[in-house]
Amino acid sequence: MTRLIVTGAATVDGRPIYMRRDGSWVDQLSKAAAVDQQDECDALLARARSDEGTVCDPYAIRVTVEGESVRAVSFREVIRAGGPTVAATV
Amino acid sequence: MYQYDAIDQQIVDERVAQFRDQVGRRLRGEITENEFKPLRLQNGLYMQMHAYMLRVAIPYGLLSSEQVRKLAHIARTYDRGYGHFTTRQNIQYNWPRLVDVPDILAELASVQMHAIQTSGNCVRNTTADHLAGVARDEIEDPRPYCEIIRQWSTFHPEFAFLPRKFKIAVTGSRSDRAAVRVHDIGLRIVEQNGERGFEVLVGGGLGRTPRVTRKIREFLPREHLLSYIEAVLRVYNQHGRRDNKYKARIKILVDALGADGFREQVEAEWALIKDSALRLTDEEFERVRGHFAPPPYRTLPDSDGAVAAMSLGTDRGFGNWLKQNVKPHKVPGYSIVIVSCKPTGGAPGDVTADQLDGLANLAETHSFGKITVTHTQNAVLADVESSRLREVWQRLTELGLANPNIGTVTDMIACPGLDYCNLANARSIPVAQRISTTLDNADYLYDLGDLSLKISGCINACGHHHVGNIGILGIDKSGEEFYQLMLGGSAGEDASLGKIIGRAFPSDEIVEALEQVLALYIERRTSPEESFVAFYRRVGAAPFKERLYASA
Repeated sequence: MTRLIVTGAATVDGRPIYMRRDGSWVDQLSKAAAVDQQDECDALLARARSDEGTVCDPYAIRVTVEGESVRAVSFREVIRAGGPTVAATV
Repeated sequence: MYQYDAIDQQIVDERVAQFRDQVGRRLRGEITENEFKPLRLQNGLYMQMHAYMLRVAIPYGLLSSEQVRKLAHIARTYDRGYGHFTTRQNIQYNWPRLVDVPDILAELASVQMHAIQTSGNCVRNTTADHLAGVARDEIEDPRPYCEIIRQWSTFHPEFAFLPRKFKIAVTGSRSDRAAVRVHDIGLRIVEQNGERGFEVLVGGGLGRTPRVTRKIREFLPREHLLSYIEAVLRVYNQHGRRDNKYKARIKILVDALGADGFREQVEAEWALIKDSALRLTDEEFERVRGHFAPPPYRTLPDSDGAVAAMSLGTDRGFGNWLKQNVKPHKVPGYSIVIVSCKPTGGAPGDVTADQLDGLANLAETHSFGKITVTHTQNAVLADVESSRLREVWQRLTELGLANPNIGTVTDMIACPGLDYCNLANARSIPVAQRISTTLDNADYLYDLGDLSLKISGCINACGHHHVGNIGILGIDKSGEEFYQLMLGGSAGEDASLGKIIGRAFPSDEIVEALEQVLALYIERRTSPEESFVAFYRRVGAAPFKERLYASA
């Protein structure tokens, strides 16, 4: 099943961060609040937007949740969560 | 090379202090991201998928060894140990922390560098032929003109908020190595009745509406360089579309007005300002040109024969490198070395801090302390004594920068793609890596001959795919990466835009499709002298379509 997670770029270094239910932020997609309902997501997003010091341009993404496994639906967000697929670039 | 005067240094230092204050206010929450974004973009600081990205300006690609060492230091100290050469002859860092950026800019300022106008809707870094000053077919060194344009355009108050970004390129040679025909303004140095001036081309560009420039002036006397391009910018600034960012580049305006209509408006505007303070005096030109005086070359015998003989020696690796990566120099006894930043399986244009330091050392010992970044994401040691080429090759080999593939299909341009870029739809670097690994056969590469391959991860075309003899464009089809093949493009003096050959290929089929294209060319060319692009222009798309899609 798909759920919604709120994400954005950390102001301090631009890394992807994901919102927990208590409004704090984590680096791992799997530790974020994955909510079912759009109104829950909207509430998290509103809270994120008021946290400009921590996060830039927050938005919601769709994820699939299977047990402990959480994976972004869009390929862009998969790469964003996991880092460049060419980490050893040189 | 140009050396800052006290005013230049003060401007850059003050900009660092200003941005340090702006970053501090952002980090303390005193300004929002929306307020901060235009400020950071004016200092070359983007937000990408995983981190901020800082784009550092390298005017016309020219660097001193001291500057190269500084770039290495920044990569090592503030980033992840590498940088990425771009198609505007700049360098990008993919992982800077916001809090460090003011310090990075201060480090850059200490060696007369900055990141100003590497982003935003302003005049970007003016690019030039990477063989400027040393090419045999050169009429005149374009870099003094680029520097004059740089000084005119930096913080130009009238052009800080153009409808869109604006790119200028200058070439002083008959061969176009600067892709001037796909720039907003392309300038070709020409001679008329013994006088030097410019052929003025406008309205080129890539992106979602690719265009080759249209000529609006056969000959512009040198003294009018700034007044004329100011007139072009004024017409664009006034009439360029601001309602739709996808239709805001000058090429769209030139389309709308036609070349003649656009020319009429420019000439009318120019008539008002041509005799203003913008007139380039001989004194001012000579002042700037003095910074680009030739280095103290030794008087040496011609070395063309010796280099050719060395290339036929028993050391095949050295011989291949001489044939592919070494170009003839205008001064007897010297050679131009193209440093390949396209190792097999590597990311095109990426260079490590250690490689940058190694290049700086080589520049100091073998090339008068200068390096030029190319728009094809390589580097140039412009002034190497031919008798010392083997030493340079050995050192470059140790550095991993001697792949003998310059001008071949594996000397690819590739944008950062979906691995880094917020705009991308598909990855570019892994495709480039698979291609360079698959085609890693020197005999085959050399049999293919000069052949440009350019890869972009989206329609914005940072990888110049429209003007590759073969272009690859990454697209997103229902969440999956697909790649379109384009054939027949050229960025040179015979500039042309490639055409999409047919339906896109999934990621796991694109390399094989490329191999099919290359195989068809090898099978059916009239001779090895018929280049890929000449072959395509002769036979058209049909045989390629048949080969690629016949079984579908």
